[in-house]
Amino acid sequence: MAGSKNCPYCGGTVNQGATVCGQCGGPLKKAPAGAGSNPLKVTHCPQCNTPVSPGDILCMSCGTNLLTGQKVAAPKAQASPESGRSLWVVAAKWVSAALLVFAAIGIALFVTLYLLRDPVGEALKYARSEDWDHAVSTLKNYIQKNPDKTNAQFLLAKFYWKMQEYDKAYDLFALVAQKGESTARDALLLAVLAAEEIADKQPEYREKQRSLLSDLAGTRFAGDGEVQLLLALTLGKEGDFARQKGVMDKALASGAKPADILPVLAYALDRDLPALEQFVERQQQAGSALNADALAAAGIMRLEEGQSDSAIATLSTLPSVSPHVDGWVKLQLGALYMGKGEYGKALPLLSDAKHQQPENERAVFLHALCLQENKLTEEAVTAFDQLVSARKNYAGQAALQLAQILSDQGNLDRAAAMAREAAELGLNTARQAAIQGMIFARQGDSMQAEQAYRRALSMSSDYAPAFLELGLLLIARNATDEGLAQLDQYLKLAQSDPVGLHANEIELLVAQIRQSQ
Amino acid sequence: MKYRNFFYGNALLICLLLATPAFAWGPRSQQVIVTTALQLVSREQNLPLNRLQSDIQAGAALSPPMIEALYPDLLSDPLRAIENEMALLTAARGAKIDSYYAFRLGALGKVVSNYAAPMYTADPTLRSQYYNDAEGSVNPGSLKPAPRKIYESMQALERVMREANSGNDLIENDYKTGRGFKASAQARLAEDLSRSVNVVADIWWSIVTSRAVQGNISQRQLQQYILQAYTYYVDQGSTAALESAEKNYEKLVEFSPDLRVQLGDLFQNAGMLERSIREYEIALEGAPEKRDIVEKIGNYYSDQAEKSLEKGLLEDALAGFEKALAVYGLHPTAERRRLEVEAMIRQRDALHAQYQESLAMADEMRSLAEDEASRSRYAEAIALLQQSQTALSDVGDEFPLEMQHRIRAERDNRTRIAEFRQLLLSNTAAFSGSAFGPDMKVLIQGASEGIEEEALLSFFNQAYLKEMVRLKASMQSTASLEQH
Repeated sequence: MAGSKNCPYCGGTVNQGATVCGQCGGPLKKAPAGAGSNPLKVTHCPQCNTPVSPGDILCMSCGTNLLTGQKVAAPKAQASPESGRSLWVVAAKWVSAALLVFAAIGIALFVTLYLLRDPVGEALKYARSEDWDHAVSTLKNYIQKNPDKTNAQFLLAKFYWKMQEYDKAYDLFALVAQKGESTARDALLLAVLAAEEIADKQPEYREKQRSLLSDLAGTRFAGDGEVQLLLALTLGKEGDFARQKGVMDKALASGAKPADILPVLAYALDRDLPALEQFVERQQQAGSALNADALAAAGIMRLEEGQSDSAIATLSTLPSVSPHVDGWVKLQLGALYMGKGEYGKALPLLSDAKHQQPENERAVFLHALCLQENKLTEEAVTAFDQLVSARKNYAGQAALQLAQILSDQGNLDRAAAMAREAAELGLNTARQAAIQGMIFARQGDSMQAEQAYRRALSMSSDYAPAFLELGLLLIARNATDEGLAQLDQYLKLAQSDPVGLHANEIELLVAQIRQSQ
Repeated sequence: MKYRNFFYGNALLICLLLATPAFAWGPRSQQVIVTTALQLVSREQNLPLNRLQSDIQAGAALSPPMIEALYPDLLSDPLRAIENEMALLTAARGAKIDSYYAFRLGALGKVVSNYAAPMYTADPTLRSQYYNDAEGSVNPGSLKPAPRKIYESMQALERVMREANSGNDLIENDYKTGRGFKASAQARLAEDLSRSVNVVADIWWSIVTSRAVQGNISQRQLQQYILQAYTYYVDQGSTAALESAEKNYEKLVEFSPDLRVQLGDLFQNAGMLERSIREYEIALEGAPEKRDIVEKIGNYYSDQAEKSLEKGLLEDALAGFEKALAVYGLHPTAERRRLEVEAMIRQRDALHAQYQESLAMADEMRSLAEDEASRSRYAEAIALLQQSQTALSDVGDEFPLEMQHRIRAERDNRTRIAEFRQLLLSNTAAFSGSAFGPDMKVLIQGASEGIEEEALLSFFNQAYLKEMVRLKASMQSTASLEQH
């Protein structure tokens, strides 16, 4: 309401530029000099200079309104000189008297109304008409004068809630909650919600939220299961899983009935498998089987604790779970099968996981690796390409995989570009250097290749592929003895994984090259 | 062979004991006589003996001991011997004259020609001298054929003998006085030879045309004749002639089990084992109680099984032992040998299966090696070929097919290994990139690391959000202005 103001006399709303209140006629601007800056205190009429009493409104001599400076009757000078003048004076007196009576009545009415008005209701009225400024200012004025009025504070908090000014809403809800009156519990829950609304942008509110809950859950609401549950969740949100588990136990003991998955997650995130198993057992004894999402969480927990067989059994036979959980379960199982080298089994799982979680770079990357291992090279290239383009997690590794595939396909220029891209994406590893070297070698640039291999070995002196590639390069350049020395070094390292590193074949190669010398 | 030796032995013994030259005419003279008689009978009487000339001449060429073996009574009673032989041949004559019959005719011709020769009863020294001299003066063209006569008794033959020897005194005198053969003997020679020719032809003619039933010839004699005939044919090695003749013999006499056994022995001695066992089996059908036949058959099958075993024919050996046991259940070695052969078959089959498995593995390795080589992975290919060679080394020479397979595969492997080695040195770059494989595991491990925790946190955030939504919904009315 930047274009309006209140009348100092009647309190009514008037335009900013108005000089007179439209409702009570009171002056809104400083009266011009001579027109009476304080009309109720003038001693002479500004028109006829007739002495007037303080509190007169009309000049009984000339009929000028002492408040406005305007004449409400013709000047007495225009009447007949004697009889007319007295008639007019009498009439003026009567009019003045009447006016005075009316004014007195008006003032009395105004005072009565002022004394009887309801600012809270008024504010509510403004609020309902979505006049939030008046609603808030009215209520704030009221609260300023009546700081103990909790209901007004609660209402003002609601106004802020409605206005989506959650920080202010939180502060007032928290204030009300801490006062411990009848609205304290509602105020607490609304304070939690208000903090939740802004916690992502203003993380201090997460702490405030947890602090408020912690204070009140320990005192006034110590036996309130729902409040305990909220505290547990808030603690979990802050990553304090140990306290979350303890409070969750308290919430359950206080009669909270959370979704199955919440206690399971509380135990799982604190890595307390025995507590989790006890909970599951209790649920079974109580005759209520865990829902599928909770089972999935329990399965993943078991997996994390190394019970992979029972976890796979659980996760593979889950009834219908929510899409979000399903995506993670499939990703988890897919990763497991990938780890076991069962790429055929992993592919459909990871395809589903990627479909359900297209934003999950881990799922996309694992899916791309799986495609590569299933010899679906073109599909793998597309998938790696997308990761590289996104330039997010795994982009560097995806670029390097792409470089390797393209190199094997003979597309050496693009392979070299991808190897450089991997480095630019922050992947400065021995593997990156070795693959880059291999691409140089295939491009016929043996000098750069050798440099890249040696750089790889300087990064990691036990990176076997770099020894192999360097050895082969040197042999191809007829530096056979030096090359064989590199291959010998490779064979030593290859003992860690003789099959994967083709130790037998390389050993045979070395033996045959020596034999051929 | 045993019987033949027996005959020869007896003949030689008789000759030594008697020390009497029993035969007249020299060999050439005898051949001329028999051959001329044969021609006479064939041509004049239309008797088809020409095709059997060689058999007749073989009979006529028998040595004195063999003749005496054939005619045991010849020295003591030649006429009776001739008469018996004529009766025998008459009885043994079938619809068709077979080779042995011709042989016997030849032998009889020789005996008769001797009997009807001059000097048969003269001093042995002069007689020998006479026959030697006559041998050089024989002229087939001077012989004079006479019409055929039927000899129904031996008196006529006796007369011929007396007639032939009627000039013995004159000839003996010529020799004693030194005039020798040329004095009168030479002049009589054509007549004397012609007499012999005619008497031989007449005797043959009498035999082949006789209608009389020879009741004095026993089954045993006929069986003996048949046994001698079989011996003759076996010695000749003429199984076709034997098969042709034996149809006639089966009509001639009943083949007793003993005869069958003798024939079986004959065939066995001659090495005709299948024929031998056929005879034994027929004999056994006729006399199943004869243990010696059973043993012979059992032994035969057992021997055959042993021979099969020596050749490595285990199934044949097993079948042989089983046959031996089927015939002669108490065979002393057959059951043990059968069990041994069964064990050998099992071992062989197991070995065979093992060889085939090794060969299959070797082939598979070679195939994989070719795949690797096609991708220029020569070291892998060589390693696989060496594995193939190792598998092949397990295959022995016991089974020809597998042995050939092994030899061929070993040769191919050696060739390919040499080729791959050459390619290997010029293609080491093929190994480039082969060591990056394990990096995939590292990548997978890295990408999977912390996935459980991330999943649980995601679940938590999702559940938290849900809980807040639920709370917000439940507080909706409280937060509304209407509630104030």
